[in-house]
Amino acid sequence: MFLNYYAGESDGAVVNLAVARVLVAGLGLWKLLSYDWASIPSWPVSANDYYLLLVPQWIQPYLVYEKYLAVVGLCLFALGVAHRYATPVTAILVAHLGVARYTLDPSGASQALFTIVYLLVFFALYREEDTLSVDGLRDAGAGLSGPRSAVQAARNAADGPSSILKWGLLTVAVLYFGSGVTKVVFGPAWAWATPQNLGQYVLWAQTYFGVSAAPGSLLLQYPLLVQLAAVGVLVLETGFLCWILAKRDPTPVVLCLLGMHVGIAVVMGPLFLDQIVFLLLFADWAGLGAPLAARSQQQH
Amino acid sequence: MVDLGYYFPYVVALGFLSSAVCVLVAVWRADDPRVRKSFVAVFFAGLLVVNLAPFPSLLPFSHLHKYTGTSSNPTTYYDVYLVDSDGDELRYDGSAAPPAGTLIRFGRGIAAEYPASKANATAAHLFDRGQSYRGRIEAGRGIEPYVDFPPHALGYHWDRERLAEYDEFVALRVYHVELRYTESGLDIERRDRTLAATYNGGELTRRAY
Repeated sequence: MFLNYYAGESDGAVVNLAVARVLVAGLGLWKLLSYDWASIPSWPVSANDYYLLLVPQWIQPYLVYEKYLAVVGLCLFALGVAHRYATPVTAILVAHLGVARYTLDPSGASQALFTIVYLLVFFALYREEDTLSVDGLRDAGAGLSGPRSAVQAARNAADGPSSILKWGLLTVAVLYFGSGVTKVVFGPAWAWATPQNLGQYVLWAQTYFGVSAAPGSLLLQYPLLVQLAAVGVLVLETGFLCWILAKRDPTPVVLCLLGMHVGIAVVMGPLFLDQIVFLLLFADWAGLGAPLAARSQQQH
Repeated sequence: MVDLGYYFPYVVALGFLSSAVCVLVAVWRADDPRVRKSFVAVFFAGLLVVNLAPFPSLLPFSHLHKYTGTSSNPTTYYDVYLVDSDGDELRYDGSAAPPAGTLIRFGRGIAAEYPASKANATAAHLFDRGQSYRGRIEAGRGIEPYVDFPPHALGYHWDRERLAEYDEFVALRVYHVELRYTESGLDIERRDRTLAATYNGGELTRRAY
């Protein structure tokens, strides 16, 4: 269901890469267009002052225009146009907007903008792999008669496993690894992975975020389950990178991580929707879509 | 002793600009495999350092550190409320003050950390934002809530029904909240809140607690 591109898996990589590109662009567009950039200059304080040199007061009113430039860049990226020129510039614009938002909201919502930046840069760096794109199809030659011949031409032009998805997967795994290792070291692990610790976090989050208390209360009735969840978080977050580097099938770990994010949203409140999208980038979209394609071919 | 905190913003700014130049050069010269390999090696070195070292992110290198320490008993935090002309309190909806979302650090700043003028300005900002957000909800936000990227957390939010129970906002209050858990950590034993600051639409009053 999910592919370990670090292990060199290349089945359907061309199609998967195109789907990943559209998902990254879609997520970036959704976030940039939903977030309120115009209100940033009106704040009299910042959450932290470390990054203000990059977004001084005089630049802040122009963030809205910067957003529109980045939106145009992401639209071009979604189509795979001008990877060499537009994509790196878009990556820098999104990174700068990310810094601006981070000065007031250093949460996962802002941090995810930087993951989008990393993925944009990998696409620009290994642009010749993205053959199912406007750039790629143009390079493959004209005279394509439809989507099927376009995919075929893109497949013929592609060569081996995808470095974009390989480094993208490793990046996502490193981010989980950092989250897990810091819990293990600074928790430390034996204190973090207790029902008491996770129970208190759940109760605090329920109180602060105001999520329905029912699922959390049900969970807290079973201390063994809370303990398992706490150990599970540490194992999943630190183990994902090791699993990828060991070149194993990532499907079980990715499914558990997706379950972890859904569980956190329901029980505690924070919704890491970005992380869910980032994990879905490594689904075998071509494999999942193959039965549908076969059925449509039979009907013709 | 050298104050590293003083230099950190300069390090961050230089790091960000250098990263931008590196991206442009690496993409421009991507045909050379050595350039790509070097870029990827430097990128992962930077990402690992930021993810494993306990200092603020050297953006654009970011991390996902969440709940890294163990939770404390009791846990304390600051919570923000708006008060209507009848004296009824409505808990603040973080979506009213974008892009902050979570207001704990700003509540703490208003109540205890910011100098008086900054605390006053921040309270005034939150108060104004609360009023205008209320106005937008009451006027109908159209499809915005359904198509916008979801807020950081599910749970508490304002809607027309909830707001209809309140008269015009006249003040903003910041409370210091203390949650005391049972020994097992699986239940809340006590929840105490103490008024820490009040903004009455013009002036901020801080209280010692």
